[in-house]
Amino acid sequence: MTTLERLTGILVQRYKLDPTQLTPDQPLDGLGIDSLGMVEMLFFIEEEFGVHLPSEGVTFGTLGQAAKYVDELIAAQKGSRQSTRPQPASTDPGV
Amino acid sequence: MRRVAITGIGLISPLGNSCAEALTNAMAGRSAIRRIETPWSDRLSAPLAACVSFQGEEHFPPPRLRMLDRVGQFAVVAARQAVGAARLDAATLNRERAGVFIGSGMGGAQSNDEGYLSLYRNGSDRVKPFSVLMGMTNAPAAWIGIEYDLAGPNLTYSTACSSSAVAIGEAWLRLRSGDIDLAIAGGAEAPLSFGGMKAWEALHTLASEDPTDPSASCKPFSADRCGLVLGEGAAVLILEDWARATCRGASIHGELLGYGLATDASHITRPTVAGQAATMRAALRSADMAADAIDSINAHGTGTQVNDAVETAAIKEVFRGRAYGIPVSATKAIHGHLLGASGALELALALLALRQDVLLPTMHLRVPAPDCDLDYVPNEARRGSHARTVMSSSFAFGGTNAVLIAAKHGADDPGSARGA
Repeated sequence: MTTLERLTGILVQRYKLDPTQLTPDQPLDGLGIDSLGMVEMLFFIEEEFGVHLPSEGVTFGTLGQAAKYVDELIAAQKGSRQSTRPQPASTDPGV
Repeated sequence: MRRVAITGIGLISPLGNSCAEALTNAMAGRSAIRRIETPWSDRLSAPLAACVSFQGEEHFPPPRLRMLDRVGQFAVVAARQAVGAARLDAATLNRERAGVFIGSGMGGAQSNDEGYLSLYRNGSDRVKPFSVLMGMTNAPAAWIGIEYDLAGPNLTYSTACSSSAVAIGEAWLRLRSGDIDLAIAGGAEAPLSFGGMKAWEALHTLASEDPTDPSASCKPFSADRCGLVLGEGAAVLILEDWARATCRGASIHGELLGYGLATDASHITRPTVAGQAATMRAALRSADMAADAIDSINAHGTGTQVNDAVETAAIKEVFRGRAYGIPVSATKAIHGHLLGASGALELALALLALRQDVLLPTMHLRVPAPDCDLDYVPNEARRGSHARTVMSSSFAFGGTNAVLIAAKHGADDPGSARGA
């Protein structure tokens, strides 16, 4: 199963989204998941892929970009766990 | 000062998840206390509790449920019941003059317990993403405010076992003064995690299991009383400016007449006669009522040796010779001690029973105790009661005592209970 398919699975299972809506160019902020939902999604991604996301927050853009980010993260953490992590954009739950 | 009507009640309780069911069980004296079956039950000295039959999935979609501790689920669903019973129309509400006042002693204790389990026992380096939101004590009040778009005060009171009585009382003060027109007020508690129960066990305040009937393990005011049994649940009232309630044709359960608040300030757990009596007197003063106007008492009545003796003495100090003629009910014998939610639940049950002309029984009172010699309505509900008013007491670890006074609303005006 590809990373994209596994991410799609998270969105369908956890957020009850329609799988036909989940194309690679679908912006994640257009799925009706609020900032807290996105924070939660980072947790699910860590669980699913066994990776550690940066604590300072992550923003993905589209579903395809999210899959690419996760792939890069997996590759980076296979080598050095800390040094080559992709630079994240900011996620702010509004606290 | 304005009068305060009680126009809706919502209950998620060990005795049932509706007013009708809970009242029926309370009047019948059916105990909800049971032996609990969990993976850790055999590590408890007495695996007893009064649990709520409740599945969060039936009330919340998964994304919302993942943000709610059990205590928040109870509170929101009880609030929905109360709002529905009061037939509130959000469109007619001035949202800035409507508030939420919730009491909880332990907040999101189960979520905190799960987090500790994950970190300390399971060796994980992370906890659930919404651990803060689930564990924070003001979450139940916040979610109720969000659900009904109420922009007035949104307050959480955490004064251990008096939390919800304080919440209701503080809402009453703001309604009476005219600061707000409507309040959703009550309490919620979900303390039945392994950690929560072991913490209470460590204080040596929990009842041992009755050898013949586990459901009879909590025995308020009985000579063989041996402690409290923990319970869970929520009770929420709609409190409303009397004029507003009557204007919109609301069905009025009763009137909240008074609220006393006083503190023992002597010992972190041991109650005092002086502190409890002072709180009862403060409630009478706030209601502008003489002690003679109190027709019944809903006791704190935990079933511990110390509380029940001290409470009995405090009632005698306030009511003098008349103390022996006032029926005193202690319903914790059957629904357990809901800690921060107990004051709201017990006031609600007492008021609902008064409306049926019934005084609720104090169950499992089998052995008269020399230090508890009042009329506790032992073991059987008393029907055909003419009681209109009830004093409901909540006394807490930490010494923050709260007493509420309410009257059922009938053909005669509850306001006439005042005076003298």
